[in-house]
Amino acid sequence: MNILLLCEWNAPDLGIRTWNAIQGILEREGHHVQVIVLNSKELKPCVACLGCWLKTPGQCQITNDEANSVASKQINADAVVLVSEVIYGGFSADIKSFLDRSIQNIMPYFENYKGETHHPMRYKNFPIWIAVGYGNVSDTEKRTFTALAEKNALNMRPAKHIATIVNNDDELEKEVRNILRVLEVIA
Amino acid sequence: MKITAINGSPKAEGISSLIINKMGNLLDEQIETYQAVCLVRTEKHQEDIARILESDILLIVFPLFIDALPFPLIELLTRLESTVCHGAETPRVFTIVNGALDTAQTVLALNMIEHFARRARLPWRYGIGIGAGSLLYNAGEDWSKGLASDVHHALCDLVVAIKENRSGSNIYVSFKFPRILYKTIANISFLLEAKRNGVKNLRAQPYVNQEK
Repeated sequence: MNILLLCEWNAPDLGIRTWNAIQGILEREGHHVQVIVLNSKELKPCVACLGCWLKTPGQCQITNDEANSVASKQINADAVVLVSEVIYGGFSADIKSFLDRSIQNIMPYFENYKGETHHPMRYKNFPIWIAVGYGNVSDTEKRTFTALAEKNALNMRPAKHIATIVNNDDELEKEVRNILRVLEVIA
Repeated sequence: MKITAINGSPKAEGISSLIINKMGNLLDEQIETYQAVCLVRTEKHQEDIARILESDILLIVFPLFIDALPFPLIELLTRLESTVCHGAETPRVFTIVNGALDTAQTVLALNMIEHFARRARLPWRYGIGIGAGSLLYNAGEDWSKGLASDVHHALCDLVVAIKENRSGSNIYVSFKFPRILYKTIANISFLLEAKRNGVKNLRAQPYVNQEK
């Protein structure tokens, strides 16, 4: 599998160990892993101009950073793994700086999907979506994070998706192997 | 009473700004407003963050981005959290999310602001999730009648809660406007706008097989 691993520039030690562990497991299983380190200081904020929908469909009009290149890699990967410190039950600023700009990979228009109003997909397939959160996370934040992955899946409609949270090094490898097995990314 | 608003929108004059202005009118108070995207990029942001934390009320108003907070707002809130002086008087937190058509989609964003308040040990009050907030552009000056009246009433309740220092459960409000009509008008306006821009194919797939 061609797997895109999205990590944070501003990651604390547990984040770096988590991403290294995931990369190691995936590569030992024979997958091709491309690591991209996202930096919210370098990615420009989405300005909600809708240009990526209505002026240059499928491409953000801010072109002096890496967002379009990452969006292309995202849509062409078989699976995307996001490794993010859980901030208030959501993604960190580094990871979210790309996600905000990734709306170029969905369409304008509104349609009903699973009882809610969503935008249709731009591409036929969206990669398997794996959100790995880490940090000292409360139970309520954990519930928000896993619910967020469900909501994101309604917007992006990957074939499979999962969210998990790693609290410490002891459970790191076991938890990562578990979720990759559930998604049949590893045997 | 010192009231400070954080505008989490990338647009200085968007819906979040309209809501903050309306809250200022309803409260009959001056609201000092900071735009998150500007604040996190200024060199004197620590000074501004200290001023924000001196407020009695912190009103966080933002649009929903991918089911959550726009990233500059996340960045600003983490800096606020790390600056809070425990033991000092801290602002009470209210929030308003201007979201997608379904108000249910604002639930997680409201939860995130509550998580922020708890992490920063700021007194959490409650939030309002507004569905199809972009309709406020069409609401005119007087929101108390017509399509924005439910939003108006929710904001009036928030004003009372601010003045009486009350907390409560989150409130979800929408416009008096048929959903099917909203979607139809939006879908047609996307096509018209694209046509004006000379776009022939809104369904373009520029990245197909680009990385193979």
